[in-house]
Amino acid sequence: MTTKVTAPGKKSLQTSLEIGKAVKAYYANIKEAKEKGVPVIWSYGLIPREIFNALDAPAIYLEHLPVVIGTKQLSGHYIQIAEEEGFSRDVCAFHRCFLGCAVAKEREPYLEKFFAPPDIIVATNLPCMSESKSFLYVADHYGIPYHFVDAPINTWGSDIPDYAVEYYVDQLQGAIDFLVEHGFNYNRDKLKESVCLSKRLVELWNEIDGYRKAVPSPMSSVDGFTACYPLVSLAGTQLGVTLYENLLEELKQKVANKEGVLDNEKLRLMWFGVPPVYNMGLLNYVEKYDAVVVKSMVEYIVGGAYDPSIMDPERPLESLAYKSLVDIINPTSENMVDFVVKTVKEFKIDGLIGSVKRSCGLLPGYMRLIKDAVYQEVGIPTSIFDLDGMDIREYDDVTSKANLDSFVESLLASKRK
Amino acid sequence: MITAGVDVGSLTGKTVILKDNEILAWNIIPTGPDSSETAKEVFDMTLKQAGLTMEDIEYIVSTGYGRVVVPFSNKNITEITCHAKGANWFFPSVRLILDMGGQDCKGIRCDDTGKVTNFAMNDKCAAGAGRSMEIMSGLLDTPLAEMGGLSLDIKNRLAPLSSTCVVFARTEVLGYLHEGTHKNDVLAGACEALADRVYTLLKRVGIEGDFVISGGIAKNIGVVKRIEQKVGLKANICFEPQIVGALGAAVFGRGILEKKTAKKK
Repeated sequence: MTTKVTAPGKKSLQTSLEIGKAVKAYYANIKEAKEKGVPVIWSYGLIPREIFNALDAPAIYLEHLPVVIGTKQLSGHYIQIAEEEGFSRDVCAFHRCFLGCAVAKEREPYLEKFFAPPDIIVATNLPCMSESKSFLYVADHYGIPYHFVDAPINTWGSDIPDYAVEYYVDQLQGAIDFLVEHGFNYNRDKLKESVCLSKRLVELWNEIDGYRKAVPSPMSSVDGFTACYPLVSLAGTQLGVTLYENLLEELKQKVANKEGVLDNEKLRLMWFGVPPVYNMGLLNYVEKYDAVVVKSMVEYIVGGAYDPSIMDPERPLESLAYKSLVDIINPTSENMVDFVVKTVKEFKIDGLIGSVKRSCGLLPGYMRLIKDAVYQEVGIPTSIFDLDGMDIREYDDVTSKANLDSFVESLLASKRK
Repeated sequence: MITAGVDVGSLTGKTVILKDNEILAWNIIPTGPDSSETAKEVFDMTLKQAGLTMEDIEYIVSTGYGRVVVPFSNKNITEITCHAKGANWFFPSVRLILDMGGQDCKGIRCDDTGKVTNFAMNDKCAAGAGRSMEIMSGLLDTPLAEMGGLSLDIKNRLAPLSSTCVVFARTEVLGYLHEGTHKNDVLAGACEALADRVYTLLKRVGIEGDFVISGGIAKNIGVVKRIEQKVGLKANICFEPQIVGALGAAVFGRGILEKKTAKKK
């Protein structure tokens, strides 16, 4: 495997380090539970984390494990193993990465700290159907039980009809029943508490976003990439809330002191698509032009893009069903497009960078819609280019930087005019 | 006021020396393994041709993939920005530029000053670039300069080629040749595939206004005719389409000098 030129993202916040430690502790706890004989669940981010909290079930989220692998530039190795197993290069690179990791005979010592083989799979079709098929392969490989949660595709926008919520509540209850059958104890009070903490988590996230809109930007998207982790794995936990309280305080201070990521911020950019997790330094690359990537798509497709007022602890499953269905990652283009346009306006974005991961069946389709909507409604240009954020083998540093150079140069020229 | 632009591309190095608003000299050489050396070599050649020395040049702007390794440049600017500026110098009414370089291809939209308003580059594949034509040239044993003309002289029918991958296209060409397909028909297929690919790129940035093609493939009449047909616009091509980026760099140099002079006053 050839080594590519990569650089880790430059973080500027103390809380990012705390979140990094929380990530390690999260996986260490799962490994410890496994050693004690507790079954480990592999699941996907839009199965509400709160359900696993209510069952005291250790769960690994399969859009996060590939990120852990990718940040250490190991994704190419595991993707190749999945391809050797017979998976096409057209299968999602995230899925190939966890598939390769799941079936690998050996894993690097670093990765062993994070890797706990699955005992149970809880799959879903939200946001993409192919994930459920990838999970079936893992279930077959390990000979373990598999449960599928069917989420209705949101064709209604932000107003989800009762019948859809009721259907998804039944699906979530089915997952709970399945896990109880496999030895877990369900505690409804804990679910209510978890919903309450989730609500607080998203309220804090929204407050954090409020401070991130400040000029100069107090936080880059490199920090944001780490900061969104609690939304994935720590939703409904006190630890998640505490981390966001700390982050909020840190940002308040920075904004009060007018302390930005850059001393002389000239451009504010947004990244749509998966940034190169193996080379997050690319997001810092534009800083030589006094440009900062203030926000990225990843930060709002991980389960926090909903109005927290919909969370009612007295109706926990209904709340979780509603928040999952209304999440912008549920494939309804209007929600996603509207959200990006709103973000571009509120964060005073000067340009949108769209990186296309060809093996994604969902996001590339949004690019054109978003490019047009952002230009028509806000007059902001978008540069779209190929960049697989997970498969390091596909990465072309020269071309990626050439695209960024040209785009930033044209934005600066427009500003001067 | 004498300025120079140096464009170190993936396949060729180019230099243009501009005196006020007139091209004094220009040169193109193949890019060697050392981009810095290529820049120096082509620059020295051009100086000599113009009867100038390095000290005579008041400002040098480098561009192209090798722009950052040109040790004697005062500033570097990306090739997309320079191509738009250069195309605007040759054809002030231009609003759409197709630059078909050695290893990549760009669709560029610009305003009346030559400022980039939108662009798109080809993805990580040489199928829309000069390198693909070089491969076909070798495979079909036809000089690059003759390929375009021959491709317009179809003997039987155009042999359709893959427009997605030059390596697969190579296999397809071999298949056609083994079947006895006439070389011209295969060349027509190669030019058509390239035109298809760049047309998609142009559609992405928006087809509108006066149109310029720059880069080496602008010399291939077979590709140019097919692109014109698809785009529905006549392509403006300058006397040497490979120097458009270097010229744009020299024009930027002049602009920078003019600003400096104005400030002093």
